[in-house]
Amino acid sequence: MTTRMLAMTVLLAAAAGSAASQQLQFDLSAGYQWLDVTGSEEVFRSQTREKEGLFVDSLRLVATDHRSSRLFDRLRLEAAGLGETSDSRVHLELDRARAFSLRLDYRRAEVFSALPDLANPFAAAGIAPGQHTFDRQRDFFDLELSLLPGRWLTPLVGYTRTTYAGPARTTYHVGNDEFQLASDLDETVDEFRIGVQFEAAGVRGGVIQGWRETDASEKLTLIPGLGAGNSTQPTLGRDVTATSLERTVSTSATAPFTNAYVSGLVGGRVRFLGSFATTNAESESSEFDSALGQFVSFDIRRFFLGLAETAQGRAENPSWRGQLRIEVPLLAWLDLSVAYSASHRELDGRSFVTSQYFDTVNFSGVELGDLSTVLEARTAWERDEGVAELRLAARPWPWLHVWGAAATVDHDVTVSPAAAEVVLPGGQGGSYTRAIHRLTGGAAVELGPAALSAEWTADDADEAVVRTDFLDRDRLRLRGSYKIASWLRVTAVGEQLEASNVTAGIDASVDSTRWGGELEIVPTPWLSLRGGMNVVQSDSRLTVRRPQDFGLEPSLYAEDGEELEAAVALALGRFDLQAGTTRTTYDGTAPFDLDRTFLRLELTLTDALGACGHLEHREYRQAPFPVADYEANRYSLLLRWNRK
Amino acid sequence: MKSFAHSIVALSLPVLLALGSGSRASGDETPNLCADCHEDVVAAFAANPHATAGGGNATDRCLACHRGGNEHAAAGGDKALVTIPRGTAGAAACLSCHTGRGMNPIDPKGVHGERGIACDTCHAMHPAGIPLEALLRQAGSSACVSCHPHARGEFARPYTHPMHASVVGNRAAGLQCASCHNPHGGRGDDSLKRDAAGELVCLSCHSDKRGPFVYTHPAQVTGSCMSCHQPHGSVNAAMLTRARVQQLCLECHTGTPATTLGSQPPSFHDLRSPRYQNCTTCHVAIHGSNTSPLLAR
Repeated sequence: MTTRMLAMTVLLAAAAGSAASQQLQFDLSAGYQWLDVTGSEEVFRSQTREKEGLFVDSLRLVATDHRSSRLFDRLRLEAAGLGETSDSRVHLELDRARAFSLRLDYRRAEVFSALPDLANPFAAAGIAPGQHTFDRQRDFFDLELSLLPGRWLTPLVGYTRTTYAGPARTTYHVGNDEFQLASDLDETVDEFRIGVQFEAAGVRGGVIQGWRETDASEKLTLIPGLGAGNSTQPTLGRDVTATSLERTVSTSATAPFTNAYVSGLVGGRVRFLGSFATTNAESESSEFDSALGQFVSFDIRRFFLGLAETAQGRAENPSWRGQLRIEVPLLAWLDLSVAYSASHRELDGRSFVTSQYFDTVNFSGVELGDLSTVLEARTAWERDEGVAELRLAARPWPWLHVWGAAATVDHDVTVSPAAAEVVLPGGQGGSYTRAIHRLTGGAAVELGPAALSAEWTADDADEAVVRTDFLDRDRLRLRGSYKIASWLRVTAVGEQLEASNVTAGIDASVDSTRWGGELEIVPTPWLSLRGGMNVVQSDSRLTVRRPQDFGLEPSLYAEDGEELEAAVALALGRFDLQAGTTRTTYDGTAPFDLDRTFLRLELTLTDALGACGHLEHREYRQAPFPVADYEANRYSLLLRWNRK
Repeated sequence: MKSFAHSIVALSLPVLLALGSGSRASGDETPNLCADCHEDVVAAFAANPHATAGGGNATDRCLACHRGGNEHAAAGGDKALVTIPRGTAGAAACLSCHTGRGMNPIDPKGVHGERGIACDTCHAMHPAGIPLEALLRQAGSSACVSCHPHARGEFARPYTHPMHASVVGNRAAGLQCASCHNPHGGRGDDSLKRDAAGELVCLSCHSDKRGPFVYTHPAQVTGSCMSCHQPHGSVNAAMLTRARVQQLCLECHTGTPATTLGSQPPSFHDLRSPRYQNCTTCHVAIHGSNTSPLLAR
């Protein structure tokens, strides 16, 4: 659906709804945006996705009609970003008391990435953008209709469609080199749901049965002129080149799912809440690859001039998760809750790959003709998680909340290694268990204008499944706010996190501190000022092994960042002004500066009409890699029409 | 597209049936007795989602929250006789209907409820003008970032999800905190929303990463998307947790000790060459593949 069609549909729906209504309120803002970018437009667009053109900034409409002869009691429509923007949204609510309740959502997101330094082997040579870029669009449509809302039994039906489509650039490793391919993806996910919610004798619950179907196809072809590949060096004395590469992939998946939930009171005191969801996803895929050129394969120890490969895959992925919690008020001010949640997920995958290598020549120069290989592989993994928690929450006085909890998290993971994956022995499969014991304690105090809360969590694990898992972790969070006067408010937050795994060969540690705050001053009803600051200091260290010589070295990563923000809002007669500036500066492993300054001026022309101008200046500097730097100005002019 | 149109028609039928039968079933033109004194409030309430919720007539809908309203009216407006739900105590009126439903329920013992943050901290039952979505007091995620200012800082980093103007930037259609988090839910990962199949909210948009794949990257088995990505915003491209791809990969793919999951790259991966510094140049299908155990396509 084009955005123009969408905008017309929305406006027609709004007009139809409002024409029939008793009461109507709306607020519409639309205009034009201009862009002026110097430097890396790719980085600017990857980070902001801003576009130039006509757009509906926002529409809010509420129509009500409580006469018995009308079709609805209440219609609510919200839309934003229609037209030349990268994000659009429409939300519709249509209700008639005790008859139906309809919810409709539409979202569109244009996703774009063309970064110069993401997985780009030629970034250091200043060649941009990188070899992995995309310019795709996601569309999301969701509709849910509940019948007889407010009655003891409420049937519901729902439908969701998600599409993801568009071009991209990626790489393909074949014949001991990587080649750039142009990709065209088209994916559609349809989901139907039917269910019922009930409420009787203090017990509420519901069951939903759904079916999800995914169909995706992708076609990839060698980008003209890039047949030389990434490697500039010959392999075993021969240049690896491609004259044609083509790859087609089609996948379909089905996933029936069921979810159920229930909550209620037993004996007027003990509350229980339970939920359960299960799904069994199955996918089938077929792929066909063909290549012509001059290639090398160390797997078959031959040079070859062409490849035709077909692959059939099938995967099954059953899973479930359930949760039960029981809450008991021990005293009027003291609650005990016991909760247990468990989840299970497993995968059984099979793949059958036949490869035909044409015109093969062994490394000694003997011509051996065509060669076929067949790979039949099976993979499997299984993961179980169980979380048991005992929690106490007390409110001894209205101004004090105290809580504490003890929990155990158990992980059980089994991974079967795929034979073809084996490159070096170890680490590719096995059974792993991990138990984490967690203690949490916290308090929140509210005394007049001041509020303060603190929470401490300590985790203690017996094993690590992957190297980045912690064995010990402590986290302290603090939060405070003080409304010094009706015109002055201060908020401050802080977090300290320390995690480690002292196992020999891993020697991991993370030390992270974040703190920040905001100050809000409203000296008069027509003036408000806000200032904010956020500071991040994070250091992590872990031992890694260099593949080329198996030597060990520390993997160090550091963030040392500061974000400053100041904003002012001024309302003077017909003028409404907002202005602000944000400066984000990071040192450490990935240093950069990002400055943003904006000004928004709104003028009320009449009770129903207004005009608005918006300016924004944005500047990005990535010190060690100036190819990514940019400076951008964005201007927009909007007209506003409202009826309240 | 044809099946899409059929689906719309099929799903529209129950709506039309409800509309056709609704004129007799749900019509309520009984005068709201509260309007005798509270005319403005009652008029504005027509635009409120609660105006069509529950049973009874228009007066009953006021009394559902304002217990003692009849006595209050009979006593000539004695305020002491009528309940005005406010703060933690007032939350009980909200929770008598809004609790325990669906995959993302309103949980009275959720992270906010436990800290004494009541419904009316974020929601306004009788707003002036056009009510905001979900009857919020402030537009978008303003209420969230006023208590969580560090989240605003995270979204000010260069690589983030496209957020609503109330968090950062100027986008009216962007994501809000509640797009991914259930503010009425639990703590940490338990605050993340799940879809109707019980899967994490990330896959609702990133459906191409859902699979199931014949070969899944074990990071998805042992952890979640957050093992490699920082969804609130990152200083690194693709919202990764590390600036260089090789660093991110090697932290798991180092065979010391031999008891952890994560294979060791063979020695021809010479990291001094730019070709091997960017693992995903070859291992492009890093989220999962149906063909390549090495996730190379």
